[in-house]
Amino acid sequence: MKPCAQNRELIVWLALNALHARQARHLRAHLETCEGCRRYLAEIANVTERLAEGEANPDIQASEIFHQKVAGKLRAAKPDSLGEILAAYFRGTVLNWRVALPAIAALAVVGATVITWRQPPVVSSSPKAAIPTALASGADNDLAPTIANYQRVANQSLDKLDALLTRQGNRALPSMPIYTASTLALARQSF
Amino acid sequence: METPDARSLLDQARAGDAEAFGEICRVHETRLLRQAVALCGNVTLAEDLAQDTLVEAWKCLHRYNGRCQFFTWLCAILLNRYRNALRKNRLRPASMPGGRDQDEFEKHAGNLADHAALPDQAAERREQAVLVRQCVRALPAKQQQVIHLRFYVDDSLEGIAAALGCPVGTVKSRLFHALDKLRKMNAFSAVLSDFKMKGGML
Repeated sequence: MKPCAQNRELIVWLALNALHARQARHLRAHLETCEGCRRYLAEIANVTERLAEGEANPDIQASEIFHQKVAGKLRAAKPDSLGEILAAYFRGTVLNWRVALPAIAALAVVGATVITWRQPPVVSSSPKAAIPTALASGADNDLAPTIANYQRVANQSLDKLDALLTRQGNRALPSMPIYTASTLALARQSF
Repeated sequence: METPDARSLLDQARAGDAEAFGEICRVHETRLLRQAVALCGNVTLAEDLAQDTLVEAWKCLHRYNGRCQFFTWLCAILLNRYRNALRKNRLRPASMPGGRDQDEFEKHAGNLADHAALPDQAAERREQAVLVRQCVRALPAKQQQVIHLRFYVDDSLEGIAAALGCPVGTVKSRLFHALDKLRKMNAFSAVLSDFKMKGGML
């Protein structure tokens, strides 16, 4: 008969006297009614008894020569210096993947953020990219009012084209000559 | 967890006093050597292992935080050194039968143990103790560690957890798996049935 699966660990801990009193009470009550669990406890208890009796060599004694050797090695060895302690701590921390992996990931995220933040805006040398810059600086007023220029600006944005046309439309026109009868007569004479 | 005298020696040793640490070693070295012999099965190698353990403990004494017995902490170092030595093939497990070192160990242990017991009883006890150690040796290293610290060093689960630098739950879990595996082992069952048949002590 097999023990109850959910009780196997608890039974081992009961055999090791490592179970809380309340849990132990519940488990003992269960053991009275479950033969499988009772047998499992008996087997585990036998194992622990054999292990506890298995300590070997109770009569071995460390000799004075042994102690002198230890004392000699201790004199030759110095305790770790502060630098060595810190280095060991650092090695232990870095080599522990549970710490190292999140730290590396965090460093990568911070590095990527800093690089993105400090990167200057990309300035393209293409004519299409030059148009917005020129527009922003007000140089659009100097664009020749040709279909090609209007198409390029329209490709960027229809709003920009609208703004460009409005600005060019509002630009002060050159003063036009005033034609009168006398000026027309003078012009006719000259031709 | 330590006596006031031991704490005082420990404080002096932490301040860099090698003589004070030497006195601490004198207290623990016999027990430590027994543990090392049980692991190595070779007295010469065990002495080296125990000495190196004490020297390493001296060098990294700042890591001992007093949350477990000092001897438990020493044994955790011993077990780690032993495991590393096995990995580097410098040592051979004590339970490997048939080797010259193993024979030497058995002879040595037999001579030392059970002076009062009859030769037959002593031989049986020795043989069955070796079987138990073989079974433990077949466990994964981390499970061997908790079995050793729980049953041969006899510290609390909290002390073992502190010495190994892991949560108590991890120690309990490793103990559960280790004991469950030992229960299933044929060799261990043979020891148990033999023990039951004789109806007495190992």
